[in-house]
Amino acid sequence: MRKGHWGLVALLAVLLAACSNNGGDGSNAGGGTGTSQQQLVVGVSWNNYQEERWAKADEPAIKAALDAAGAKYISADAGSSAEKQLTDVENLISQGAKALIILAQDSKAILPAVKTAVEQGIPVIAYDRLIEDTGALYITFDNVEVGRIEAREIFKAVPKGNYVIIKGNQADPNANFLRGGYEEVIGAAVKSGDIKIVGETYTDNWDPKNAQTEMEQFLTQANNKVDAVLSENDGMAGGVVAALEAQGLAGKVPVSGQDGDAAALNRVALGTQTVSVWKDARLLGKTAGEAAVALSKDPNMAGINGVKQFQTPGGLSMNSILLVPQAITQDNLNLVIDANWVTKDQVCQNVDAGKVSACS
Amino acid sequence: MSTTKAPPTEPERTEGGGRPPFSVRSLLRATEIDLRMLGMVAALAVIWIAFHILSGGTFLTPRNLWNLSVQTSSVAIMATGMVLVIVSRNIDLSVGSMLGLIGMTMALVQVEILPDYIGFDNPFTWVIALAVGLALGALLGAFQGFIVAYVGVPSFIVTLGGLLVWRGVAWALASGRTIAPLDSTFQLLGGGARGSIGELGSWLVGLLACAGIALLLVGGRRQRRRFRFRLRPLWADVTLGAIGCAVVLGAILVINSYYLAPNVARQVAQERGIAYPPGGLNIPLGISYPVLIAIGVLLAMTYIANRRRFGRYVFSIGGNPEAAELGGINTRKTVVKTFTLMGMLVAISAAVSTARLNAAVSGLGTLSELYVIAAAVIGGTSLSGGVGTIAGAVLGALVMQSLQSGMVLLRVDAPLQDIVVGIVLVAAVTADVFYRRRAAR
Repeated sequence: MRKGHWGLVALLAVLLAACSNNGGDGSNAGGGTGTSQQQLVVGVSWNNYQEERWAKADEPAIKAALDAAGAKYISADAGSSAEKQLTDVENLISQGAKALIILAQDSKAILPAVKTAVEQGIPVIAYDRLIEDTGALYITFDNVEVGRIEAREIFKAVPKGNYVIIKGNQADPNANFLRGGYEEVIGAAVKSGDIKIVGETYTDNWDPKNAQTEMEQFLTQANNKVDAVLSENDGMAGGVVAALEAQGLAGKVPVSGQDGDAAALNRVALGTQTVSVWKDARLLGKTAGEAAVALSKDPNMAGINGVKQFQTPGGLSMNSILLVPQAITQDNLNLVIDANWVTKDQVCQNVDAGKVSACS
Repeated sequence: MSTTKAPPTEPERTEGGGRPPFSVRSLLRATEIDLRMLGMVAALAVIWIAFHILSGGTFLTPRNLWNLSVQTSSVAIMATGMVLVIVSRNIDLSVGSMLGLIGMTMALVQVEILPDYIGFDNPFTWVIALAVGLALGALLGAFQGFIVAYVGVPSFIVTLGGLLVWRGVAWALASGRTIAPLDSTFQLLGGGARGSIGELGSWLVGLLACAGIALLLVGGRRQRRRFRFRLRPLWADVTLGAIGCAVVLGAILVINSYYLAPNVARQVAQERGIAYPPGGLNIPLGISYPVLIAIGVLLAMTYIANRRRFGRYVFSIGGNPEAAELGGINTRKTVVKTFTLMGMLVAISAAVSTARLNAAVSGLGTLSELYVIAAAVIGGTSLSGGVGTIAGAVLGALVMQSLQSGMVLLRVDAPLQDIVVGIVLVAAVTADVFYRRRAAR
């Protein structure tokens, strides 16, 4: 027992030493350069760094934009916790951040932290997800447009028939923006009775496994009479396609998605998914990084290129930059390959030769 | 002997049932059925019938029941192990994260590592991937068990650490990418259109099960005679056997009346060289592999828990750790073993869930630990240790999944589903507490 305790104490000591070393290095470097060159520090608060795209595309793009302007990048990951994100933002400020880029876990819970930052004259950029505070600059791809694009591609293939709609997490405003985009495209057809919605549900945490179960149940309920599926993102589309596969319907029922995940783009090439709306995260990261640098020099948001007014669901009019997303279908898969977003091998795995132009 | 035994049983009978000597209660007592378990089955039946009526007759269809059985298998497999962990007065909060890590590892092995050496879709790929997963599960479980048993850190803390650490490692392995598509043989472990044993296979399994039940009953009678225990009345044994067999064969009949979807049936007919009639072809899927695996795990774990020395040790540790230790049981080794077993079951479950989704995603298994613990607890496992049954936990998993799948059929949205599942969890345990209190009196 005694021995065990000592071992544990030693382990803890080593861990603590490792942590404090890291912290020390970081702050020293930051402080040192900060005093000598007045280097600008930009803090980024991620809500959940564990998702594929943030580490792969967004972070390098932000870093590159900051590097180009001679600014320093510091970051924190809230691990899907709205509470932790509040302290993360405070920590970033106390580490000397003069501009903040926040990917909010929860669009409302983050408000106190944003208030604190704005009061201290630190500009805040709401990155990809809305923060309902006029003090923040909202930079995102037009999520309603993403919904419109998804629905347009599916509607083109199936103008009449039974639709299933698999929505994302209820607390994420994007889930409802996307649904709003769907409504603009298929709303009239739903009203006229051409389109019948035979299943619609939110999905906790955008979980593909839950989406699979939901789809299985909807197929059971409708006795397989489902003609099209509007799935709000690629992960859930994966679950939907797995459910369709079990009924031999994969490739026969059009399915939508967004994010340009490698697995989803492979499904597009295989024909089991119709469209993946690709929001080139590198463009988003670059825009946000440049805006952060610009705002730290001149806090006037209206002065930044491309800023427009955006009406939030909460009734605010916010400064925002809305980037235009790109629909990726079988016909233009070469776009993502040429942009080095994914490799040709990833996209074309198991695709029959000569079937898809991007793969030949 | 019979002359001395007869008087005390006589008043007991009249007390229970009055004039007719066989009341329902005395009948049940004669069959020695666990009343608690019977109550759970009844509750499940009520839930199923309610959903069937509310969903306009969709719930109790072969197709939905088949779906339900597949959807339940992953949590059910883990719940059998959780019973032993909880019975030994421990807890394992890390199973969800461990599932994510092992699933991700198995996916990486078959998608990114093995193809470089043995090519895509090699017939051995799935075996190697599964073996790696099982070894990793045993290792992680044994490691946690070692810290709990030999270092003396409470299992709640150790596995809470595991919950964070394994999830982080899983993320680091693949930097959050989705690993897909998986090996085509490995995919069968998750069920799907091809992942089941077919009509004939299912009937064979059913007949085997019937034979097993008969053997168990005959063996039980022989054992009782050998040790001069009171025999169950012959009619009770025969009835039990008949009911058990009927239930098994009925279930097979239901499963076998779920047919392949027309598109898949056409392909299968083509592959087998059968002419596809214009009216369609009814090819039953039969029991799917994940369900077969879950049933196998259920039987193996029940055997381990009830018939092996290890199982008895676990229950005696849970009943009274000090007494068990003084009685000469190596409690620490036993605890390490329970966690190792849990890890291996998580690996099996990880194989089933990744195969079913045909992908390993970074959030795989998030919150599974809560469903697994809830299934064990609904199934009658006591968090204070010493009490619990494997079959109960599987039944608990079935109850939870029935609620979730049923509510999707009724188009109840996700947040409300959570509310209902939470309430049922607490209600089930409350009912259990009352039952135990009455039984103790």
